[in-house]
Amino acid sequence: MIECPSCGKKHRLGTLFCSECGVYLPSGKTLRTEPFPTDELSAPRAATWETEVPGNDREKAPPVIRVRIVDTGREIVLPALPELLLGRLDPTHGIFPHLDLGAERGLEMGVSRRHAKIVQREGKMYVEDVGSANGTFLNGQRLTPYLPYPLPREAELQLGRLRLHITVCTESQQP
Amino acid sequence: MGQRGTEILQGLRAGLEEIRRHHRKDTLSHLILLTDGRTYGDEEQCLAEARRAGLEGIEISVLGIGEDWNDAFLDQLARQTGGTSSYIAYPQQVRGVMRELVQRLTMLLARDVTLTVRTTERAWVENCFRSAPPIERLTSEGGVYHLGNLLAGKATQVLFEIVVRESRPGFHPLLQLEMSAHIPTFNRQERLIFDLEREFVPEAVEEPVPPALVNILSRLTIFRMQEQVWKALDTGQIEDARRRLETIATRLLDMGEAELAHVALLEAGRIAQGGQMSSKGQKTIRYGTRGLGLR
Repeated sequence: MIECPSCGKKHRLGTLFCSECGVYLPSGKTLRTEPFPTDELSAPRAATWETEVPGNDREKAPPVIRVRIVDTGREIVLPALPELLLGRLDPTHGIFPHLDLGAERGLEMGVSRRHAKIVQREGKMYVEDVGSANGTFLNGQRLTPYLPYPLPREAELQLGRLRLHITVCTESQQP
Repeated sequence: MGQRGTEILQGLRAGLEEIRRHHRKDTLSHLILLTDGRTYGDEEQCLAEARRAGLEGIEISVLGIGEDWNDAFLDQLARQTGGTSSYIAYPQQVRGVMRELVQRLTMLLARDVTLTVRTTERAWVENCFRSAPPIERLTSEGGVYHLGNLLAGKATQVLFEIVVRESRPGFHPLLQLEMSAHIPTFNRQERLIFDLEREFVPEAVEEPVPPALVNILSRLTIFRMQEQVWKALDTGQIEDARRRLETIATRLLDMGEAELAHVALLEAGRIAQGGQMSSKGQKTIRYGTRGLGLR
């Protein structure tokens, strides 16, 4: 049996596409699903979303995320939360992103209301597209929806057509 | 057009009667049913008429205009005869679709094409699809799959999902396929037999998957995912249907099908709010995902 890396459904060996979520199952040339490195995914995904950043490295200051809107130069500092939603504010549908890009011409630039998430797991940062209409690009690479990708300290993140420059830094590094 | 509305049955009977007056074994008879509405209470009789017509060699195509016709029923009706149904969103499209239909009739190469699958204990067919042109799920009657007509210059692709049991090393037969068709030009029945045999080796061999197959499967997967949406809606699993539609939208966008993706997203929103899809959205997705096989 092989397991879909996106939704977890189990399929017969040799299955090419997940019947649940449509993800192409073989990665690379082989017919096997490549496992994630265990240090990146040590616990089941559902259990880790809501957990706090582990407290064993308390001496280190929690990181913050500095976001610069490339086109306007506007800079926003986001607090370090286990999960940050990037998108556009839509109170009627109960969508309250941590980073509301509505003011940055988000609608025009193809930013979905629920576009992407930056999540922290065991002190590491990941970015994940949450089913946006126009896609999320990390340093030019389109992200497969619902798959977390490691977020480097410095990265160019594009939501639809809106470009963001992301810097992950610890409090001590702040000016 | 009253409450009891037997309009389709009456129209269908009148049309078939007209056709039967001129129908001979060596002629091509085709009825085009153009409708913009539903029929109530006479569905079974309509299907029976269609079955009879199919046995006589009369084909029926359905063109449904607008949002209010019952696509599932009329699709079934057309299939009884080996015909197809098409969704016409705007009346302006009627001419083009009609022209294409008639043109297709002039390209007829073979009729009543059937594929018979004979399985062994080593392999069985899990699913069968026509992958182009339009995608559809094919179900067998005792191992016989009806493919309808074969057109000159237009390939028909059929995809079998076959599960193969592990076997001891060596060559083993898996399946036998028999294709049978009537060739009108020569008024002759043709038969082709193909034995599917495979070599089993002790070590696993990972052969690359042909890109063409991956391409077909990517579209077929979306078609299968939308089948699940209808199933979820039919059984009242609203949240499941919504989630599936959203996933379909994502996949469609990945494939560059922005318009269809947009419809899927809109309908997912509609389900979230009211628990059901719009009739138009339903048809757009049903026929749109079928059309994914046309590229």
